Amino acid sequence: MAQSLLILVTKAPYGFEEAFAGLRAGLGMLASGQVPVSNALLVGEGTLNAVAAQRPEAVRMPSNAEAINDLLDFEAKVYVVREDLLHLVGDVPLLDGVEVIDWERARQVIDEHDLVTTF
Amino acid sequence: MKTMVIQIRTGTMMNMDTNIAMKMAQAALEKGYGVRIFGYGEGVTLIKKDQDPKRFPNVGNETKEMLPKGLEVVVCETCCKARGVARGEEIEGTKIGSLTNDLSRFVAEGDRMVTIAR
Amino acid sequence: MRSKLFITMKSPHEFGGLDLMRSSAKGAKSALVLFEDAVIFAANAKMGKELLTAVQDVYVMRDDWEARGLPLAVPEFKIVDYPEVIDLIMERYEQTITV
Repeated sequence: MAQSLLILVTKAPYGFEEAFAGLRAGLGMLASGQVPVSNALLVGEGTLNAVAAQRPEAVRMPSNAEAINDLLDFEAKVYVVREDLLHLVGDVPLLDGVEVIDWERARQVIDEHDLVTTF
Repeated sequence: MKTMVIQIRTGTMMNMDTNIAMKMAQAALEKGYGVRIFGYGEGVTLIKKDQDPKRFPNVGNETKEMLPKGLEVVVCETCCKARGVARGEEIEGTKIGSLTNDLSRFVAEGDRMVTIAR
Repeated sequence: MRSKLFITMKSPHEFGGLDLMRSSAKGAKSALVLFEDAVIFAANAKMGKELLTAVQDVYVMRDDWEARGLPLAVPEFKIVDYPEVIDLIMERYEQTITV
């Protein structure tokens, strides 16, 4: 029996459907009322889903930024691993509301969830 | 009884991922665990009836054989619509459902979750 | 920390999960199961041993390994069948993470 599901986002936005699908899965858990906790942890190229300047309309895709904001509206936490982001693209501005953390905290976040699913 | 949830997101003929999901499901059922599969994204192709992959393993038939042993299979309706998979095209005993109603129930009642995806 | 069982189906060429495994498994009991083309890791001592810098144990799915006819170049790797993998998932590790 699981009380919590962590959405581990490893894929960048827009090239694959994966990250969007993962964020929507988290929302589905919270909207259901059956899974009390579903947070997202953005790692590696997945951290790019939190970039503030993204403009999905340029490729006519649904917005991953909006998907993150929807999760935040449901009081989910959306964590972004700082080292991974810095390593990839440097210190770019991120969406309001996401929580920037280091890997030590990220390990705790993973541990705080019963189940983990990767997108 | 502990339950394993398999979330599958690859299509049946993309690679061997679905075959792995089937073999895991079979082995877990034989050991007395509950098994629930949720098909998401391309994973919805698992429940298409009349699959005929000739010399490759037929995961549609394998699914049918495991349903009476307690396997539950649900796929995402939104993903089905996106791919033109209509109600009535699913293997009898499988279900076109949703994240909110079905995956959430699988998660809430699940002990382990295995993600089969790339 | 909860013990972690990683699984991958990706060949060494496709695989990019080493850093994720290393970062997330630090301080925890951890293992990796290789399926499909990921079993190629077992045939290359250098690439295979690199996995053991991130996790404590590596398991190789027997049918995928046998199908490819490859040697086992990393003696520390353990060849397993599906019933053993189910034990790993359901009883011996607390979280399963696909990489």
